[in-house]
Amino acid sequence: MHLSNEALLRVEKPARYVGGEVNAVIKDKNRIRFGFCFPDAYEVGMSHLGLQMLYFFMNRREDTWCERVFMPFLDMQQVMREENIPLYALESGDPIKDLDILGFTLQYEMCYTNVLAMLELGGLALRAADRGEDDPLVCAGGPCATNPEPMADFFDFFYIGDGEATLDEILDMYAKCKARGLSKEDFLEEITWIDGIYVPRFYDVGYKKDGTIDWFYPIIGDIPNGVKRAFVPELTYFPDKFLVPLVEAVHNRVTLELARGCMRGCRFCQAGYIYRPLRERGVDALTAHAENLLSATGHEEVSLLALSACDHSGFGTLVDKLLTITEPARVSLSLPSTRLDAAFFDAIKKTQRVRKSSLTVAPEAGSQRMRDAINKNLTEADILDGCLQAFESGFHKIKLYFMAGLPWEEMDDIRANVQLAEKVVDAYYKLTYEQRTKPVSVSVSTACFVPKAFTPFQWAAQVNPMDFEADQREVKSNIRKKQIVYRYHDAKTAHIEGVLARGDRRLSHAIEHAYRAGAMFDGWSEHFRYDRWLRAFESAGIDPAFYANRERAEDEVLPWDFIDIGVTKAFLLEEYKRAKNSVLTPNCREKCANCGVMAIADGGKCHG
Amino acid sequence: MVKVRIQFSKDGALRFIGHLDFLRVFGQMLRRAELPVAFSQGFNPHILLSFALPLPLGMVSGNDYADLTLAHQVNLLDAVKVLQTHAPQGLTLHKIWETEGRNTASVTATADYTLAGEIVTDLLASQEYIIPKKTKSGVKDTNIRPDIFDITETKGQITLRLAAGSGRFLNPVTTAKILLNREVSAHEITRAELYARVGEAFIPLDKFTN
Repeated sequence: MHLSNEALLRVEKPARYVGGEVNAVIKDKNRIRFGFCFPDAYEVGMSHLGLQMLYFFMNRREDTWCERVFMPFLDMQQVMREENIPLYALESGDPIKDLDILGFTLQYEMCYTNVLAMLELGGLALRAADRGEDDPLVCAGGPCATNPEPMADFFDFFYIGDGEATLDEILDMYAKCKARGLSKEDFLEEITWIDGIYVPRFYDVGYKKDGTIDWFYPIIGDIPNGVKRAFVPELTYFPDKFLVPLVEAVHNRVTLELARGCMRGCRFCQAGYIYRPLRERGVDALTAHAENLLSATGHEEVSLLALSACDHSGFGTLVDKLLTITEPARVSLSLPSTRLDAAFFDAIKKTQRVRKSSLTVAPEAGSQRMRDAINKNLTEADILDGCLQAFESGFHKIKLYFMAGLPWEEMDDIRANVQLAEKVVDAYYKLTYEQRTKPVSVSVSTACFVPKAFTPFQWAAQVNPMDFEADQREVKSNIRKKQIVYRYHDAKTAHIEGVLARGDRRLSHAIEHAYRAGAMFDGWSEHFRYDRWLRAFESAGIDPAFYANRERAEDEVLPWDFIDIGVTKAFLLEEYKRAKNSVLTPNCREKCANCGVMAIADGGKCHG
Repeated sequence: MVKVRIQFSKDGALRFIGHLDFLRVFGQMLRRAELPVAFSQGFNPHILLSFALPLPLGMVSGNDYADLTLAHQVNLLDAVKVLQTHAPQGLTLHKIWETEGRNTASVTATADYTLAGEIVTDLLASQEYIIPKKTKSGVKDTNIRPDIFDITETKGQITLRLAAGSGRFLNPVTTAKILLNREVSAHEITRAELYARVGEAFIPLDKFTN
């Protein structure tokens, strides 16, 4: 920086690019300079709780200054090129090239090309091997780091697991190495022994003739054979401030993390496995955080975040306590979409200021056979009772979320989605005429299932895009009631996501080709181009079907096998087999399924 | 309920946000400061806050005004100090006083704009200056001269007094372009003061009483 005022006024919403937000941290420059890089738009990144948490977590250290870096939109990229301004950190305006460590968060596979774009806008070589001793170290974390291999060549190291667990250790080590004048390579060797750290350049992979992995091992001495996920047994840290953006973000609110992990064990859900065991925050602590953060931000909304919020063992008490703070201050409390449990209906009865229009329900599958296969643990009666209760308490729009392309799915299962929606419409007409104040609307949304690493479906073949589209046509042609509307996700985006999600190191070439051909903001439908990706795979000699649409053998070495996520491969395989036979596994609170995670839990407690 | 008027100025990063964003940012500051603000009735209560005149994106303001309703009386000297500690970078609070009657938006009649430059076109020379102006029903020739109240220059600093408010409004950027006969960007302009009109006199809003 700094761009002139005149240049900034040439772009849309220039406040995204100038910093100066309430609670932004400014320090002097004689520190470890960390750039928290969010590979998507400012408005998306600023709504992300992980960014807020890690920003204040790192800035609580005297010796570290953490700043933010976002992906500039195309108009801003144009202005930066014209004015010869490299990508800079928002707080200092310094080029990212001048920082010590850049940490990208990988929330979604379709942001991978944005990572490359940000490196290049910062004047950095894309591949770790091509960056020099004076360039910053570039690392990545977040859920997609649990299969780091497709992006392995671009990063110096990955951080796998809870940020609060060993980030301090890494920064301490960095300070120590810097003071001793050690090289980047020396630092990377030192941190291989810290939980959660994976340095791809120290490992090599061999492949069999059929293209599957033959071996994976360290190529330098005295480093671990694999990587153990970084883990915090108790969630004690929560920031006392949030950054408050000047422009409207996707969410402008205080978000409270109720719990990490989930006790449900839905077999398609990666978050349900990689964040185990369920760890809850206490009601008193959460209430205090809400109070602090409201005074620190001035937000008008508090929202509750968890994989399944109503499963928090103190949910009812928490809602009561939060309402004593929010109601007098005219702050709204928003409940997450959740299972339609008794706890949920109790909560909405208490909150007077919940807008009772639309409610989202996620049966995920229309047929009982499929719901059992994915271990949703939800009967049709549960769903219809829940919807009826919702109608009785004043809702008149229900959104039903389904996944298309689940393993072993048949056309009957697809049609069952529509049948379930029809029954939900019928449930509305169980209300008396007087109760039916507004016309009912039921929306059916189908997402295309993408099998992910560290789930029981990591062995499953993804449905190919043509078949997804056939499923979508089938749903459309089966809808006869005018109260039902249908929405669906793009099958082609899901296919690319499917390739990247379970890819190996060879994919880095395809990602680079796609980026060189102009891929950017792939998660935004207006920027995504399927053919560009297909050409990129071709140029890199990659068969996308090998990664997305192939069922893996039980004994195949998977690209992420070297990571000890906690849950064992044997448990996941057992769950895969149970899925095939539509056998349910009870939730963790009912009966421990021996998933194996407690072996890495460091004396922590499973709240399931 | 107590109605107060706030005088402030806006600078720095705040020049890059539009009116709706500024409204939210200002409301957040009031909440952080825990001022006893009054809320509207209804399903979605909001703070009873209104501004004299939206500031165009890119511009900064000298003396700017907002009206706020408080639930009860507070020490207004202290309130200025408290608000300042919770203000976003670039927002300076000057003073707060009790007010009655019409709100700032409806009394604002003219604004002073300042910018650096050299006057090329003598806009005050005649009683008529016609420009094509975009309206809802297409481009229309409009005489802007009646909306220009004064133009002065001292040492390269130009001050324009233009119609501004919910009644008549003349765009300062358009006017400055004609005056200087060059491209002008909003960031070059400071909206220095807002005035109410009493007969032929223009009274700065902090001196004006209904």
